[in-house]
Amino acid sequence: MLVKIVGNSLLKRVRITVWTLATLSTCAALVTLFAALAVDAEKKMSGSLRRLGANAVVYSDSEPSDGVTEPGSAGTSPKWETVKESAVRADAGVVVLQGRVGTLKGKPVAVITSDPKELSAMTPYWVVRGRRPASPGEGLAGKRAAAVFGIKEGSEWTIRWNRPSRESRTRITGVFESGDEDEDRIFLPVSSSTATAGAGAATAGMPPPLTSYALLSVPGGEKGIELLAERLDARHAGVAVKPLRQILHGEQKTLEKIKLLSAFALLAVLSLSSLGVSAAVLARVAERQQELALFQALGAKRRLIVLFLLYESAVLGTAGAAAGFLLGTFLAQGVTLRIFQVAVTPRLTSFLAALAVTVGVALLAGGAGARRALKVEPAIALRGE
Amino acid sequence: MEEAAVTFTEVSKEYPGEVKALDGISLRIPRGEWVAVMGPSGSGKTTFLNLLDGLDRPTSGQVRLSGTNITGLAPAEAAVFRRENIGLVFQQFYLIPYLTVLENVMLAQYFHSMVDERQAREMLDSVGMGHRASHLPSQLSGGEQQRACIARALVNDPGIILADEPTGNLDEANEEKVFEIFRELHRGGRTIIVVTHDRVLGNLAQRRIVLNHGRIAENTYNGNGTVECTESDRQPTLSSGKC
Ligand SMILES: Nc1ncnc2c1ncn2[C@@H]1O[C@H](COP(=O)(O)OP(=O)(O)OP(=O)(O)O)[C@@H](O)[C@H]1O
Ligand SMILES: [Mg+2]
Repeated sequence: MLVKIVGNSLLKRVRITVWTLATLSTCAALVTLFAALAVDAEKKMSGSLRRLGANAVVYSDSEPSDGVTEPGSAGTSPKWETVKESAVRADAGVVVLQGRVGTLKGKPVAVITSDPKELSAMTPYWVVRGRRPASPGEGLAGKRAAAVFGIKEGSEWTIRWNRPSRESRTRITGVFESGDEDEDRIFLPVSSSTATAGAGAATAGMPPPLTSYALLSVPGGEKGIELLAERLDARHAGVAVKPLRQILHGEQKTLEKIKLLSAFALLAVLSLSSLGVSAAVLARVAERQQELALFQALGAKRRLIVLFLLYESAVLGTAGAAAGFLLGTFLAQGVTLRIFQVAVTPRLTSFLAALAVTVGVALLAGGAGARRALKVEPAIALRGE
Repeated sequence: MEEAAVTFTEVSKEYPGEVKALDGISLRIPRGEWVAVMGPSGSGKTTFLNLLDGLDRPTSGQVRLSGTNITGLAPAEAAVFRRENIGLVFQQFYLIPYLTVLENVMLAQYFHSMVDERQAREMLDSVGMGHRASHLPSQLSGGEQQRACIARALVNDPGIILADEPTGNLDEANEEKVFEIFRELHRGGRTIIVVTHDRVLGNLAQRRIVLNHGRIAENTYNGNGTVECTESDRQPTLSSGKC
């Protein structure tokens, strides 16, 4: 009978039920969204931040990472093939880069070669006008280099090498902004194996590289990098791993800020939706003073009436949670797809969170409503005109 | 002496603002008696009923129903007592709008003990409402709603029926149907206390109590000869009760 009363009370007073349900499912949707973002997206985000690019650089001890050395010293450069293996085994992204200096319009220019796919995985934050090069013979110019030399997308250029005296022709397919010194450089794609072949190997008409290094994106923040450094130390003599501190720091900071922001937003949303829910529940109760007074007149104890109101709230809360969870998951999908290009999987934990919060809010509001309802003397409510 | 259904001893009820709704009422109503409570608006009739059903408490004095001092009951005990002993009929019916007529009757069973659909249907049949069992109250006329309300009041077989203006919202034809139900109940031995402005209903009852400013202004037997009354029930009256 209680089930029937509650069911009918919900189904046959459509307007107020829909209104209460709407506030409850909004609440649940937001909880789901935030739970998904907090639980799921945090992982995705740190992955995505990792994909924001390299957070460590590997260079040879005897070969400064940012300088240009004489070709004679190239013999000491590490075996990049094995560095790469170690990195991959540690679940890190890696790209090996080789640097040379060529001449363009009579001025020196830094030219970096790398595997184009690996490079783009490590530098997703580059803003490329045009497109990234895909095949040998194409190239990507940094913004400042493009400005200095007057490079436009789609134009053909010849880079001259001094020793041996050769030249490479390249069609610039895009100009990128990176916000760092890479903007002074020109990037040319070479195959992965060429890129890791080591300083000694000559590449399609180019002289041997002056320098080579690898950019890594290592999971697990600074600890992960330390771990990888130890491993590399053990396996490869003469290799040093250096975290790119500002990026790591930024990564951590961003995550913390996002979490803080989410927490604030969640709090605000929760208090707002509990207000909404309380208002709806109280409206439900106010509308029913006579009904509840009648229950008492028919001999229902106040406890039973409280139970009835709470039960009703719980049903509404559960229904709201289910609807809100679907909505919230949908929203979370949209948000994460848009922002992180990955889908979140609906999680039991976020459903449980939404359920707990929504039913909790509904019960609190229902309890408050019940208290208020029972403050009204039934004798007075039943005098109602 | 047989235990009275209702005993009021020096009962007063004062509302905030020094409104004396009832002023030192003493009264005894034997089991099985049919009493009409009359009087002008604001004379304390509804207050009188609410003290009887335990929804309200007197400021002073004692109300006993079937030997139980209901003034001394906690709200939960009063609720239990009410559902065991009292059937309430309201002028505004107070049917639950989202439950069918049958479910409204079963609601009283539910609060009392357990639902019994067959018995609830029989009760509706007995007030001529069997054919409307599955309708919602909003689909019924006022007279039909009142009969549903009466069925709900009767379904737990209470010893005492309390009715506040049961015909106040009804036309004559429906009034007549309600009168007939009350007559039937009276024949069945129920104690009936009905508040009414309706002279006809007032005359149908065995005894008429007229309240005025919270006091008993008149307490007379209608002399229709259906019930013998004892000397102790009689009180000095102005009118010519023929008890
Ligand atoms: N909750 C209350 N607070 C203050 N005064 C009240 C309250 N309830 C009733 N009264 C007053 O008590 C007096 C008796 O009220 P009661 O409702 O018993 O009268 P009644 O005889 O039933 O009137 P009616 O015929 O209009 O229904 C009235 O003066 C009324 O204004
Ligand atoms: Mg009244």
